[in-house]
Amino acid sequence: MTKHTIPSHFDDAKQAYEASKLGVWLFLVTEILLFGGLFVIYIMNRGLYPEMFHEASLHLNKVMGAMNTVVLICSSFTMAMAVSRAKHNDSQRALKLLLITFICGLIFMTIKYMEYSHKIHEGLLPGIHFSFDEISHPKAPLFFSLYFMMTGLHGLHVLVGMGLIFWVMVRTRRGDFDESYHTPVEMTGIYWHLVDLIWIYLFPLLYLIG
Amino acid sequence: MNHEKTYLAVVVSLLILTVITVTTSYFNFGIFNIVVAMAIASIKASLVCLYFMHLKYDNKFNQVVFISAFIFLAIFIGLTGADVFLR
Repeated sequence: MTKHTIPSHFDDAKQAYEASKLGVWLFLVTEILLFGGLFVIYIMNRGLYPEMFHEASLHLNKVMGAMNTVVLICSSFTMAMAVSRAKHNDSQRALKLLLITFICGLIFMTIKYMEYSHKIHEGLLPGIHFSFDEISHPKAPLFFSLYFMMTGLHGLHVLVGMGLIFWVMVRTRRGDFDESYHTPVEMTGIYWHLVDLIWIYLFPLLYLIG
Repeated sequence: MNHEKTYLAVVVSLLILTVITVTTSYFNFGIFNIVVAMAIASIKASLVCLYFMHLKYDNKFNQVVFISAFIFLAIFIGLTGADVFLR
């Protein structure tokens, strides 16, 4: 058990905790604006070519998208529970819940991989790589540029989140966290929920417009 | 323990809303499809923010910081949209 020491530039543990949390919220603001740029491109092009978005979206797999939504929502729940357990000195159960969250991330990426390989196989690709005959609209490659860019950036965030969860698991196992100090678990949790939050919008916007 | 019961209620609500949004996507309400889908997504997002991310119990300053992101996003969408669609 390594006891956490409060950095000397803070008055007390509460101030250190509040400063960390404010930092994470500010980071999440930049994340929303990062994804926001892609959402803006999406909205403008959907406004310009609504029938193309409708047609192209039919070639996404709704079932796989819905499965991934359920997986992410469940993982958000287990993450919130893990934070709560860590706060209540219950490292053992926190560790189990973190592991389930990590596995959910793994399932999400596996389903994503299956979707991507199917799209690549069919030639439903961005820009000049598009080689699918059943969609006649000349702007259709644009939809798949957005699809790969938005889900790709989101997938990258899932991978980063899994890395953070792994790190928090190692530290939980080592006994670093208790009721007085559990900042990394909580901050990883907030980040993981943002990843879920973005998917909540990506899912209907990409998969459910057909 | 009290919080954990809330989490359970939230996750059940999120799953029910997911079922509703997938079901409604099979019906054609014209322009209302996107309105319904975005309304449900926003309810889900609010539940995640308020309860999973503890924003409801967080201090005011963090709430303002996070909400400011959406104000900037609205400006971003609004001004770009005005340029693309109203010119």
